[in-house]
Amino acid sequence: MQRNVKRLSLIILGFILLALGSIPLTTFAANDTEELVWPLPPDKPRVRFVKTLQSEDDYASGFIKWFRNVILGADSAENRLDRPFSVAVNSEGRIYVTDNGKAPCVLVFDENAKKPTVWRFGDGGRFALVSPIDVTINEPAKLVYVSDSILKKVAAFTFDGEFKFLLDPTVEFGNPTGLAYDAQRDLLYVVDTKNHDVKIFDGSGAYLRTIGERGSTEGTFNFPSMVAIDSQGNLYIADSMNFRIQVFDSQGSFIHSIGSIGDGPGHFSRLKGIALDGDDNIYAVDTSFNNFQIFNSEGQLLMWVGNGGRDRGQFMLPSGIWIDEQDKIYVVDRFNSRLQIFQYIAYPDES
Amino acid sequence: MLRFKRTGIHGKGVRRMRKTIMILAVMVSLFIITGSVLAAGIVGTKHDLSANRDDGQVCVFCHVPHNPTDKTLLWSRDIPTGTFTMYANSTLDGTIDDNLSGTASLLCMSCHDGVTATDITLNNGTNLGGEGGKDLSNDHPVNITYAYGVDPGLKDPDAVECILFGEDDNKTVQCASCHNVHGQNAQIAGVTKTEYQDNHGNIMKFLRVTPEKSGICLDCHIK
Repeated sequence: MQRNVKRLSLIILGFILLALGSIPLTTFAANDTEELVWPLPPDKPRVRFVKTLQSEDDYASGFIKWFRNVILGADSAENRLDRPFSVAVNSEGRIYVTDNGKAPCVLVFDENAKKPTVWRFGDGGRFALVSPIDVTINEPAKLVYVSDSILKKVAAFTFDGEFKFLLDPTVEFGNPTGLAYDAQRDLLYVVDTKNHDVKIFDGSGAYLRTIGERGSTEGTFNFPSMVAIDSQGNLYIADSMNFRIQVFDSQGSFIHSIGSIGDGPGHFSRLKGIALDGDDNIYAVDTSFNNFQIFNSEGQLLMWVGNGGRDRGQFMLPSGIWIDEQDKIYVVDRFNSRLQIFQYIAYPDES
Repeated sequence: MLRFKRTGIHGKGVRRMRKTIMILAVMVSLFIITGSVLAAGIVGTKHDLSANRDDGQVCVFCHVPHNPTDKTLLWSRDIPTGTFTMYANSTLDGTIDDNLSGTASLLCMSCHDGVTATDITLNNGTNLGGEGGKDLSNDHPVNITYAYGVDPGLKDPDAVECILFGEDDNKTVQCASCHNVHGQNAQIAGVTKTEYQDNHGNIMKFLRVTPEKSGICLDCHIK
């Protein structure tokens, strides 16, 4: 009832606004415009802060935002991140964010829609998510895969959030978490954290094979979590409780590992999200360091970004990360209930 | 004036330092004595995350060894020698949701996010009591002040089994108030698993008080 009143008042307001003509869109970051780059001068900037996304208010006009926050009360936006975990972005610029907070779902920030908006799926219907963890994109088949660690399933949805199928139901997961899809080879990687391995499927959900088992030697895992692939189809697995990233080729052969346990740069404590930029640099989010560290493909440490806090470029228990084709970096800032977006600045002459 | 003051602090500082060293020495020896006991409590429990159950490395998963960098940052001229600050930021304040900084509870939530541990800790201050008031795992707020004397429904903090953090009027409830994460109450030999106990005789979920007949709730709450 109350929600209906809210909706009705918003609709009426919408009409008033339409009648008044266009009101400029404002973004969350607009109230703090000082440029933020890493590293600081005189070094060349490599990463630039772009903006923060949190709810449909990020796309609302100033007046709607004011009405929602002042008249209806703060946080009244219905589609708002609560405890986001991971993120993936398709070629249309749709940002899919898993949220395993009080209303588990996938929130979609539709940046490039005619009228940018936020909507959700997986909160009911044919496949209701309970603990959505990771999300990844199959661009050729226009699918979004979502792992759920409590349902122990990985589901495929259309780009519009319609449930399509589950991965091979004969395969039992201990706890499916990290996802990555290699479109060139039609390989879908699913990390099974509790079984300490990585299960490989094709894009249609047929099971192919498994790599790894529990251990601390090369090619074995201890609570692996997130995963990414580079331009060559090499696989980067956050082997979280072995405090390292393990790199495999697309055949599943071990190449090398990056990092070790410790509380200083180049080390890991609670390694989670992994992503690669257009130059195949590796970005590794560490939940307990409240930052992401960047390594080159040889595993040498380049830089890190972030510390604990609520400001731009600061994090509270960050988790998932994604880098799109324009080298935009999306980092899920879980306990700040937001997504932070950065831009990788490439220098093509350097290499 | 300033110089005098500095000298004063310096003199006091030396005495203080001696005292600190002594206290530290006592603490270290206590840690050595009790450490093995605590570790023994963890071994085999769900908080034993070691890949090889016989290599004895059970502490590092939460207590990260101090290991500053031996690397240079290729993108930055500054060579870092420090370490990352974990779970701390003193500038934060606000609601239950926002002020976890510097608390031990953040340490728990860095794994209890649905991935390494599938039970997700939200602490978003809503839906307290869960469905039917039975499931507190997602919902009992942490870093909340223990309002003894203000809330007549709370017992004297000195009389509870659970551990409250902080001093006097500022005592707070954290994850570790109710959960003994080290599980040192384990009685590994000859225990049978019950509804309220795991295979090692620990009270389930590392609770400090049994949930049988809502014991864990009634430890603090007068109902």
